[in-house]
Amino acid sequence: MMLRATTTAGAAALAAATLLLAACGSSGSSGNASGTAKKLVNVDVGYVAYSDDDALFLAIQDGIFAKHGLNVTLTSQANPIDVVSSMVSGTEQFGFVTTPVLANVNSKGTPLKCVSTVDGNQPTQTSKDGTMLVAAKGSGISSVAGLRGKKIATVQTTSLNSLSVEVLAKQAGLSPGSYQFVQMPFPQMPAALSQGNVQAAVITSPFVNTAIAEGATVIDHPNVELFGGATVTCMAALSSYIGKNASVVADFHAAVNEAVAYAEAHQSAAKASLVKYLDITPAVAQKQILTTDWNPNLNLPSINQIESDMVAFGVIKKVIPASSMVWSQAG
Amino acid sequence: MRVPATPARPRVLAPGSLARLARGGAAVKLGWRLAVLAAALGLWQGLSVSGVLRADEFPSMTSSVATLWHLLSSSVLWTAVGGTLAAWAIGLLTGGVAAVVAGTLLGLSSFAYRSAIPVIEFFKTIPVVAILPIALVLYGPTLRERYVLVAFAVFWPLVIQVIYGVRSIDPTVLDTARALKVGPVRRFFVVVLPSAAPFIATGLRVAAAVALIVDIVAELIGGGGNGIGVQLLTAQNSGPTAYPQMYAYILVAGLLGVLLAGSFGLAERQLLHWHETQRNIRLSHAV
Repeated sequence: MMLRATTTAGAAALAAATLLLAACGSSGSSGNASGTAKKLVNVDVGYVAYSDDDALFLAIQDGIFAKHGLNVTLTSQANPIDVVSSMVSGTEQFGFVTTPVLANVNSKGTPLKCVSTVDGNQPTQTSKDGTMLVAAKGSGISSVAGLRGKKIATVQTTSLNSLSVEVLAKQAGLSPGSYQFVQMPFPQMPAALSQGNVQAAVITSPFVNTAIAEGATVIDHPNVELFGGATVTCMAALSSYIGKNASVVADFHAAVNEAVAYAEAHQSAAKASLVKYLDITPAVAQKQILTTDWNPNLNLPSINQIESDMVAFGVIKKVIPASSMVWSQAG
Repeated sequence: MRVPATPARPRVLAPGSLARLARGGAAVKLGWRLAVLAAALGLWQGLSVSGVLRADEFPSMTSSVATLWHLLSSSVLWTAVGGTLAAWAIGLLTGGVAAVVAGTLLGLSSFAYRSAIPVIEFFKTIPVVAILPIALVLYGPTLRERYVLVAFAVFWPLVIQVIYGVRSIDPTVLDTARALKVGPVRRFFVVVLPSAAPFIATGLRVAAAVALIVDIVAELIGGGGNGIGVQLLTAQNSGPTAYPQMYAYILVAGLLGVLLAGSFGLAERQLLHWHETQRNIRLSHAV
């Protein structure tokens, strides 16, 4: 699963900017909940392009959002923190976030709540998981314990991908200082592995296939092992928006839940929807791993667990109850 | 002025003949440029064919150029170019006009110049990427966010250029204009602006390239719209099969940069043909 998260500094800047906006008296929420029953409500949704947006794409393509009275416009962004920034600006009403980003921005004072899953929760079977911890050919690493003294590529040092390696390493008896994370985008990881710049990487589909083709070996599926069944990503909205647009939020939640069930029943169509939005060929689309258990219910204990791990490794200071970071009717 | 002709000695390069070749006519210059371009493209293809660059890590020149050729006939590319150029143009225009006005006012007063220059130098060094999150929070991933960032990036270096341009005006000319009771507005258009024009033109030529980079980075990081940066981001996220597409858009960005810088350079030569700096350039070329 392509999980991207933010740096603490980014979240702090966001919190400062949120205060600035509040001081300016510019509370942004352009969604219109007071439209007539027949008229579709326009909502803008920010997303990070990857294969698990399939339910969103399918919901737009096959009219599931329209059925629930919503006209959804998608905006592709580079990472979840940009999505949150766009929601704070008022140009987007809903957006994709990862659980570490959700916890991080809430801990920095931006009240953000999960409204629905993206296409379900983290699967419990490795065959359904696209995120792997791999070791470079010739690195001699065969288990997590072998990471001692090695360099590990990760997409963000505060992402779930990094967090899961930290937890697994601790379980294997490694201290946090005995290995080193190197931050880099997924596309650069296969080359970094084969050139010996890093000895291991937490890498996601489709880039993991390149790494394996070049001789990298899979050591673990950290997210399955630690976070099977967990809510690791979600579609979120700001509390201020939820407060003023309860019916739109309810419609969005219902639409995504219906779309998740629909995508599970039509997985080939779900993968085919990636062709347009991810700009890939139909053949490549069908080879994508949809990293989901198709369960649309947000898993609150798992959010608390991820927060506890973040506290243990110093990413956030304290656990905020998951119930305050999830829309009341979604939990 | 012409260099005395030397007897033609075909196939043998006499000392200095390379320099003469380099000074040759427009056709020769174009030929050399095309040769260097072909060599660069050939090197790229060679590295791909020999396996130094793996296809799933870096696409070959032929696949990237073929994808670019295919894109040239698609509306996606031209929509992307239009989207990127819109933010570029609005940002450059607003940032440019603000810089010329502020730079002129600061340049005409030594006191104002000395007071403001530390602040300007400070803002000039702030990387636009650092303020991008704030722009994103204020405006969202919109056209406005991108042109505000472009205007910000363009304003600071250009305002310094304008200040230096205005301060380099011959004081006698300004005093003469004042003595002849030329009003401040007319003085600005007739004396100040033409005298500072070469500085402004150079600043604008550099700013045009900076504006394009900032615009594409804002799209790539902030997202939104349908410009070249967003197409790059989409291709990057799509995995190795979309790499030719990704590099095709990188080529488009590069070509756009060359075209914009070239057209600003051409406009500079045409509009400022009367100025001594341009006359000197033409004289040195004529040697």
